[in-house]
Amino acid sequence: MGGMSAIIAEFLAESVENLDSMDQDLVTLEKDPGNTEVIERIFRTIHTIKGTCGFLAFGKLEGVTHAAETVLAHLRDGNLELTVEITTTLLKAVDSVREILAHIEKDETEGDGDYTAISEELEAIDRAAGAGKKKPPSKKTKKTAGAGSLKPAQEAPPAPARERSITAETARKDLEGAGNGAAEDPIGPTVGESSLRVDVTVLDLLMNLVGELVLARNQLSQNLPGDSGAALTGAAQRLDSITGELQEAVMRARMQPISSILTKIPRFVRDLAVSAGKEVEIELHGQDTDLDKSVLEAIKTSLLHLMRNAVDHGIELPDERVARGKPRAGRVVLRAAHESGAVAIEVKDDGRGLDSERILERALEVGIVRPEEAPELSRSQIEQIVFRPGFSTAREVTNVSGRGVGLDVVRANVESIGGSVEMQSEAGRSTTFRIKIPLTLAIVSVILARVRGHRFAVPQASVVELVRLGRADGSLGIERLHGVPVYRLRGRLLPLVRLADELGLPDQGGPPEESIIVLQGDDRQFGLLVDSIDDSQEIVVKPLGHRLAGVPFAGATILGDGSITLILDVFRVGLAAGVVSDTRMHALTAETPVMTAPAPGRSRMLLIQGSDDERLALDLGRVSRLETLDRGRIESVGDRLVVQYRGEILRLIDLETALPERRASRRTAPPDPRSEAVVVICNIDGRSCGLLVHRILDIVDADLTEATSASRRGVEACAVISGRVNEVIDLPKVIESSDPGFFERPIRHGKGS
Amino acid sequence: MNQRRQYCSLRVGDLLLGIDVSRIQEVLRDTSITPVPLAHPAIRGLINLRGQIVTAIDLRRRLGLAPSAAGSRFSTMVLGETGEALALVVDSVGDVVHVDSASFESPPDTLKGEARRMIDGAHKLERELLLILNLDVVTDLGRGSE
Repeated sequence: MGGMSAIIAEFLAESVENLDSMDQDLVTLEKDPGNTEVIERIFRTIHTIKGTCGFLAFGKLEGVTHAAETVLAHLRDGNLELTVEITTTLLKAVDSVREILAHIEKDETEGDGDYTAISEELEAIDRAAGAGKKKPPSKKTKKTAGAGSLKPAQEAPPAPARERSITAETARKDLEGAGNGAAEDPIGPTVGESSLRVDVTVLDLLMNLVGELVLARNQLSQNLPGDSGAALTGAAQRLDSITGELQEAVMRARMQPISSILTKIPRFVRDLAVSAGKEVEIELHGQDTDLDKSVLEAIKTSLLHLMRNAVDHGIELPDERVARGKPRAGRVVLRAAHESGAVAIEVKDDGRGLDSERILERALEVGIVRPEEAPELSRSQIEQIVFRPGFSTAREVTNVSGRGVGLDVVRANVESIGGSVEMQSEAGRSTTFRIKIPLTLAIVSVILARVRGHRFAVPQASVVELVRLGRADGSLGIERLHGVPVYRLRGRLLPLVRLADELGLPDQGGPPEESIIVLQGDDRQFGLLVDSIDDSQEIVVKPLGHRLAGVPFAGATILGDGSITLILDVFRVGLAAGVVSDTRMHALTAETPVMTAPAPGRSRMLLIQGSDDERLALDLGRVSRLETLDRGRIESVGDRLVVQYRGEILRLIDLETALPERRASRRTAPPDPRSEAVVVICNIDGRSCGLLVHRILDIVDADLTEATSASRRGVEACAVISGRVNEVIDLPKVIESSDPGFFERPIRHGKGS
Repeated sequence: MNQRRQYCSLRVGDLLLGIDVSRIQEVLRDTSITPVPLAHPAIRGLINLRGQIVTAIDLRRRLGLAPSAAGSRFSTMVLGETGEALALVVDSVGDVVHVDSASFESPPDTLKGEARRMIDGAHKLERELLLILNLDVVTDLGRGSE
């Protein structure tokens, strides 16, 4: 807006704000046509714009606003009933006004758009209203007209004098509450006096300077010699507290209520609902929740997207709703609230909920899910599919959704600012999306970690807890499962990511990592293995240049000692390591409390897949460990398979050969000796043995009371687990059949447990 | 039409290179550089320039030369007007050289591959050639490390 005159800039800023609230007002009015207060407010907005643009000689703008004003006057005076068509026309007029304003902002001209159509539409409504009888001024008009002196309205020639004065009068009443002061203050509104419009760039600069100040303070406090005099120490402490307060104050200045981005939503939802032939009521709660401006900007489109999703996918058509015993109009509720240092925004609709069958069907079609995976997916896993890129269940591409660009983008956007998205759905009843976002982006608190001589910062927002490794027996307690290192954290298997490997840092032969940072990566947790954890600090995030776009870092910061530290992008690290998107890992971590007791009447079973898709289940109580071993390490002693394992000779039993065949021929070719073998290490009566299995599927709690009798030798029973028939392995029988002397051998006391 | 031109001279390996003086904001010696894992191989790391974070490109690696011995001294030339804060890590920075545009020649044939694209041409000095760097090509690393 370089050379734009101040008066135009002011006019634009004010008008754009007013138009946003007008969208909302029009939608409110549609629901509550008798609300004279709202009509007055809309009328005033249009009138102010018209008045000013007459003054600034914007003819087109004046034409449109004048026509709109006339229609609004009819509405106010009761000559006209508000219908959907009239609302739509008025909203269109608002759009035209917005368009012209945007043009004015660009080059101070109104542009060459043609707005006669909308003016004519408005005039047609005007004529229709005029055909009805001219009503005398309404009661309200009389009352306000009689109250005290009036401020002369702006010169707006085409408007009848009566309308102008009323508008000015009610406007002032509104602003000054009781309206008593109206006569004494001829200058202007009083509300604006305690607030000030500040250019965002000024605030950004201020924020940067405060950031620098924070760094300088850190530098000072770290370098203060221990024997400094009381004066110096005192000054440093004061500087410390003042900096803290200043930082807070500047952050507050950047805060805006979330309502600033919500004003557009009622209008947006209404338009969507009308075009989809649906009826939707919208409720907004917690509109005064404050958020940093940059955060607001970042989530704006995501919120619109969730609203669109709710209207387009969630809410059913009115008839369908009635048939299901719901009210005709669907409800979409948006609720914002502060929640422990973050802001939670919830978008809930009372529509059809997620149809997991259709999602799965569609996911299979698109190839997001492989057919063999499908039966294993739980309902919540299926629902998570909607966050996958390119997924949409809309039967066809509609105007609003179904373009395959969707919730994955929402998730990516929210995560890029350190937030998270969750979803809950109740089939046929509701869908709820919950976004959690940090209050601000500029200053974050981080944990500093060291890996092979490098120091990295991990945003504290995604840190769940810190774990120091090391057990009494000297081992670190890290196990391997499906080739992924895992750690048993209070009974859950936590997949681990070795940061040094992920970042390709050369091994310098130092001691192994001894700390885990447990991170919340979207809906599941994973652990980041680091050498050591130093400290936590408040830091100022500085962006990296675009030449560093491909690295898994969210930015960099300068620490108190002047050194630069990179800020890890936790999600990208997790994604690169494959722990964030792998559904199998999800099944194992998020839903499998391994060591807590199963519910009464249920047994915890390890599910194993045989080589031709047969399902086997093993009581987890027998299992001490899951391992993958090089097949090359497996040796044959006589007719027995053994492996050297933790300083012992471990007897291996191939489950496939140990169980009697149901078919004559061997089902699969012998496994590749270079491949890895999956071994379930079992403990029975104090003796260990390993079961060679084809694949480990999951760990589940199963009800075995309904189990039927055994199907073959070595099988205790058959039970339905996770929708499939599983043969429950009778471990002692299996062992005995392949190694009759097993239980006679003395018990060895090895290190393994 | 002869014109005097000014280049800041610098050395990388055996090469004497020149950069238009107006493109150089300042020269730093032996700054501490924070490496960035997984970045483009030519990126040496990040420099803290009075609170501003500057991406440092290693000119040796960029030109495909053998890496310098560990612990050897280097200088850093901070570039101005690049849109984004950038610096070049070189072996050493020399004087500003005044040359006549008449002595300008196309790049010598001994230059090969990627390096040739980064050299606009050469000025014959008394004893050796001053190779003129094309900063736009040198600093264009494509997007990220992929």
